[in-house]
Amino acid sequence: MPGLVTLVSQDNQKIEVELNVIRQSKVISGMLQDLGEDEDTEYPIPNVSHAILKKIIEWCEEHKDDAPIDDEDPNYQEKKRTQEVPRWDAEFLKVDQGTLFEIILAANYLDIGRLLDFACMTVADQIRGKTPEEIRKHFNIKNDFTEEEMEQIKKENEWCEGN
Amino acid sequence: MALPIVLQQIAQEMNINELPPEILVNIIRNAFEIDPAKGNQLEKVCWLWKDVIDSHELWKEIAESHLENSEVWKTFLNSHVVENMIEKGKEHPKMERNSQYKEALRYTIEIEKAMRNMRF
Repeated sequence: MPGLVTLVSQDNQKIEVELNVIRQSKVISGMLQDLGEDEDTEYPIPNVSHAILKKIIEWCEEHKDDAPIDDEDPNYQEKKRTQEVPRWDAEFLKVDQGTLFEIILAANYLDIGRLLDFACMTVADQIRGKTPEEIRKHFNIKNDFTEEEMEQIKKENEWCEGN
Repeated sequence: MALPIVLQQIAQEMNINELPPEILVNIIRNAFEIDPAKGNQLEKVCWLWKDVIDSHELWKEIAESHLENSEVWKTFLNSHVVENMIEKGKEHPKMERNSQYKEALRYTIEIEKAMRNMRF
């Protein structure tokens, strides 16, 4: 069927996807240019599992008509700073932490800027408003500061408490 | 869309601190919101987060943003002292620059507090 390409995931499973959908990935777009848009060619995606690749394709399908972003554009950077995650994307990214991090890694590897931004914003939302102890508990992070080091940091930053 | 159980288990094992530093800094920058109090909280999470904040000079962004929006600074203190402090930070080794930027911000905020107190 014209307009389809086959991607092969890390776990060696094949997924067919429409060309206009997967163009959201700059890496895959580049691959298509380099290797040619041949429906018989299989495009390896060695860093992304089948399950995560399916999620990525689901996101790309929803966003296939979006205009490409220019990450160097200062307007886009400013918009990113003030923008909230759109409702559909927020729902899409309501997954467990591990899956969310896998989506982030895949979006980074495949160079899908908007998905990477939304996923990072989702994690940032989970950080906001939490104390360091709550952040550690939420993300299962070990506190590797000694008591002396923590006291030192608190002392250095005393001035900005309550500003 | 539910993931297969085996993949769910693999995925759940991944920790935020296993993300590449350029992604972790993107997340921290989003959560920072260019706010000194929030920056302060995030620095206290663990060494990795403190190192990421230092190596990407996130306090420079906070200091610069604060200066841009500081009416007190614009009205009374437009002598480029803090801008010079930020500029001077570039002469320090990369991992020490953040302290310089933080110091510039502390200096600004303390002057602002003093100015506010003088008004009353």
